[in-house]
Amino acid sequence: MSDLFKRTAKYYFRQGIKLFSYISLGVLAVAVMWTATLLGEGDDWSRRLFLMLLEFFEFFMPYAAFMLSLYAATLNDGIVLSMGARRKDIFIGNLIKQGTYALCNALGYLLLALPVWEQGRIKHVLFVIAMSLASGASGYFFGYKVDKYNNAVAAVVAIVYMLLYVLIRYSFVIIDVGFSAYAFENNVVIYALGALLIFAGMEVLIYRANKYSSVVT
Amino acid sequence: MGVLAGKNIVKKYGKETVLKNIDINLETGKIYGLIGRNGAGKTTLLSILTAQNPATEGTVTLDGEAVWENEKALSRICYSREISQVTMLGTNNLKVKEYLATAKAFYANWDEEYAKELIKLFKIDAGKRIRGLSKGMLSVVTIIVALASKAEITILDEPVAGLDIVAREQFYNLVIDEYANTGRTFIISTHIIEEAASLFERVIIIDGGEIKFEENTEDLLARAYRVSGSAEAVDKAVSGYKVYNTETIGGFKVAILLAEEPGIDFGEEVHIEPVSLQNLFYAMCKSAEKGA
Repeated sequence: MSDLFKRTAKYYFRQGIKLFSYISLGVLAVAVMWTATLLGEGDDWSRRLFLMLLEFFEFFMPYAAFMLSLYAATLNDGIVLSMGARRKDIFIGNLIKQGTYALCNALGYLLLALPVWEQGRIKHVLFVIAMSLASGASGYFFGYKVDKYNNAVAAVVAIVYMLLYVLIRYSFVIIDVGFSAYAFENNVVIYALGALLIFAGMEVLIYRANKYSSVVT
Repeated sequence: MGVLAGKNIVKKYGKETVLKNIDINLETGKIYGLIGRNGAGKTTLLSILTAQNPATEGTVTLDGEAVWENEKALSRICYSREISQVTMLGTNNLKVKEYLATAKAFYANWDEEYAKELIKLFKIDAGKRIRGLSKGMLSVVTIIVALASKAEITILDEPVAGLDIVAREQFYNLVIDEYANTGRTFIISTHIIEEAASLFERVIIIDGGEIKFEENTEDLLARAYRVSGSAEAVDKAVSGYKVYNTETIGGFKVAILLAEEPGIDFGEEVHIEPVSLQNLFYAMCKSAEKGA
């Protein structure tokens, strides 16, 4: 294993941890404040709090991966490339970063789920991992394309992704959309597998885009 | 002594050819000046030589080995380039210290103590975000990265842009000190030619995507002459030579030319003076404009 690869891998691993730390603190803070506004007298605040934290965590953490990955191709990776990193190491480095973020999300979700543990929670852990990977990869790929197009395209992509994400995550509340909408709870694993397929597909596209990428100033 | 060599380098963006069959050999252990007009292809050439931009055609090697995706070659090179304050999706929110920490992570020979000394010398606030830096301070950050990288081949793209005279002199002195102490290779692209010319052992002049000259600076300037006198006498003296620019005021004429060799005797009817690198380059640019 080359020295440059090790330095690159270490850098991206730290980026993954940093990303998780900043985003999770933000998401949890918002979730706590949101829950506090909803609590009434006599409510079992601890159970409601943890359920809300889980809801926010499961929804926002993977989506945040998409938004922040939009920056990665042109900013973070551009800086790293300008400092002598190899493109193949950057590609693997981003896999490490996304994997670290996804695993941290899973661990975070598990920790939050402990006080309100139910049997079905494991499926949600899989969903969090898969969606984090898919979202991160999708954002990263579109980040490459934003370089070619403009901010308006990035905004549209982000909104469309958000709508699709809402559709998947909250499909159990959608009634009569012209096709059979499967309840999320019954098909979490299917969604997770679908997300992993998206992740794999995106990584193939990213590999091609990354191969001849250049530093943009 | 090593050689960073580019052979038949062509770079096209769509239908536009930015670099046209460039051949260049940069020997290590020297200080090079890369000068050219805006849009001449300086940054594109440097980014291709350092594998930060793929060439459309051609090869780049360092001591015979391809630079592209080559750890051994890349570890010997630092190309410290202009930092962008704005990205495609908003402002660059990195702090100076975070940027320098990234440089530390990637440059194997990074000298942290030296970086700290430079931060102090240039009085830069490492806690400030890149988006909030002045143009001069952005240049300072690129200088710190370049010098503290301790890379064998260090390339700086317009490092003194926005710097005040004191900071510029500090930079030139630092480069001379580093060169004297370590023998590092420096390739410096600059528009402030007059000040930096004394640093350059060799000069590369690029125009319209082609290298016009790549030569020892002293040798080049030894062949450059400023011939002045009456218009008739000057015309007679300079005939047969490559004249880049002439200026006539009344019957008085001045011509800047480049001869094939130094020590030419133009006769007693004209006055001969040496030409600075800046004036020679200016004359070349004027000549190119007239030619266009």
